[in-house]
This record gives sequence, C-alpha cells and structure tokens, in this order.
Amino acid sequence: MTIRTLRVFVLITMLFMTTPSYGDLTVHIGPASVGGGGPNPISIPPINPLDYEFVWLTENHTEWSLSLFPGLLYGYRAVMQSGGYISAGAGMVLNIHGVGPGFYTAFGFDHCAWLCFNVEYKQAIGFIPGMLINPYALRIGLVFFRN
Amino acid sequence: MTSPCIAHPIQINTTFCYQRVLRRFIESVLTSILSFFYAGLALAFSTGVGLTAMEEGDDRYRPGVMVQFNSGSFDARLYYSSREFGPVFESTGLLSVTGGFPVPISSWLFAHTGIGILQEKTKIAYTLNDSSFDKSDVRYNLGMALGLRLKSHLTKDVHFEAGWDSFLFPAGVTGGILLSTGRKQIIFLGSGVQW
Repeated sequence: MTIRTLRVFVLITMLFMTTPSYGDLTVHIGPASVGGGGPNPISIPPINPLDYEFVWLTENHTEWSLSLFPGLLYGYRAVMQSGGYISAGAGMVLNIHGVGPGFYTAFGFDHCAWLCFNVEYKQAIGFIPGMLINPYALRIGLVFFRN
Repeated sequence: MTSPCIAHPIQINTTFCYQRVLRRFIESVLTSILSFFYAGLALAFSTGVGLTAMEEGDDRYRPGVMVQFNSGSFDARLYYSSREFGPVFESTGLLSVTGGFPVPISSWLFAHTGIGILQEKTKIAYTLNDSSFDKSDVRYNLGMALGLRLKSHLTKDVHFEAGWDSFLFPAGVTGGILLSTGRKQIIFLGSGVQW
C-alpha cells in the first residue's frame, strides 16, 4: 500500500467519523426469520439481499428502518448510558405470509472504536387478514456518519 | 431439669407428649424464620399471574399462563404453555430472569434484559397394551431474554402490566457465529400485588 493510498484511506475514515451530520446510517447484515421457521444462517458470501437492513437515525432520535424483512419501519430510539438502546415504532411489516401494518421493538448496542459497530435484535408484529405475522432478525453492522 | 413430658400432669403417654413438644418447637422455629424474613426484607416485592400467547417461530399463537416475582429491578417469571392432540402432548416452559430499567419515553415503560431457560417436552402415549411404541423427549436450552413491558398501578399495591417478551436461543453450536437463532415470543397481560 503506497503512502498516497494510505492517506486517502485515512481521509475517508475521518470523513465517516467526524462529518457533522444530521443523523447516522447503520448498515446491518444478518439472517431474518420470515415465517417459515427460524432464520437460516447468514449468507456466505454475504450477497443475499434478505440479510441486509439500513437504519437511518436522526438527531431527534427517530429512526427509519428499511429491509425486506421485517419491513419498512419508523420509530423512536431511547439510548441508555451504557451504549445500549431500545427502539419502538410502527410501519409496514412483511413476511412470507403477507404484508400489513404493524409494530416493532428493537434492542441494540453500539460500540465505537476506530469504527462504530452495532448489534441489534429487531422484532415486529404485523396484521394481515386472519393472522398475525411475526418476523424478526438478529443483525450486526457498521455505523456511518456518527459524530 | 426434668422432661416436660414426664412432668406434665395430664399426659396421655410419653410419645404423644413428645409429638406435641416437637410440633411446638417446629411452630416456634417457623414463626421466628417468617418474622425474621418479613422484618428483614427491606425491599418491597410483588408477585403476580397472567395470561400469555406464545409464538414459536411459526406465526401461530398458543395460550398459556405466567407467574412472576419482582423485587426492585429484579424480575423472574415462568411462562407455561401446553397442548394435546391425539396421543401427543407438548409443553413449553420458559423461565426468565431479567433486570429491568425504565425507558425514557414514558414512566410506564420498562425494558428487560437477561437470561432465559427453555424446557420443551414431547410425549407420545398410545392407548395400547404395548407401551413400547410410546415416546418421551425433554430438551433444554439457554438463551437471552428481552422484553418491553408496560406497568401501571391500579392502586397502591395492585398493578397491571402488559408485555412483549422474546427469548433468543442459539440454533446449534454455530448459531452464535452465524447468527442463526430460534425464538419464542410471548405477549402477556397480567396483574400483581405488592407485599
């Protein structure tokens, strides 16, 4: 690795770590339970779109979650001093049995060193005609643009 | 000092007298223990029961019951659900031991994290003279308990609560590495009394 490449790498890393931001973005990867039993292992290589989730957290502690499972969700995150947090909200919940409005809760933990790592368990309950659907996912990820 | 049984003026027989003395001794010991326990218990604690709906990864909810013990932020509760169809009997027991903390959103909301112990029992019992076809299996697992609960006091000593608990268990030896899990989800309504 040349010094020039190293400088570019350091600058990009500092950009992600120190940019004044209006929120941060977490990219999660991990298997979801889609209603056909428990989750299958994470895909290797990690190219299965079902495993991915994007969470945008605003400065007001509201968050948008986008994934195929459990779905498109909007909620509020309460952060604890220990670095853990709990989120709750509502949105469109999806699993193999259908899609419908519902609620979600999430438990997560952030740890920032030279990168910010995150682990989160998210569960949702959705309402479709005749039944409740219950997708969930345990995912790990990286947090970007955290100030 | 003479034995109280021998000195007692209206004893029927020595054996009966010693039984009375022993009973009085046990009563006094139990009374002392209970009074010490009650007087020494500085923390208030509560107990309660409730009704549950348990989902086991298949989008189907099964009715069950719950009993709980709570002292400060410490919470222990037992969930139980069972069903019988034909010769098959299935039961699921979950014990959660968690610590709770208030969620800043509302004074009624509490989050709980801790450990969960699972017991799953399956019995197949045919009504045959030959019991060699009968089967029985018990499985245990240890995992993480996570819950979001709403607690509201109806009176000073009686509270009502509703909750959404989940138990995550590693699916196999590689479950922790590959994030593959099994889950039990419980929605419950209950009430309790503070002592």
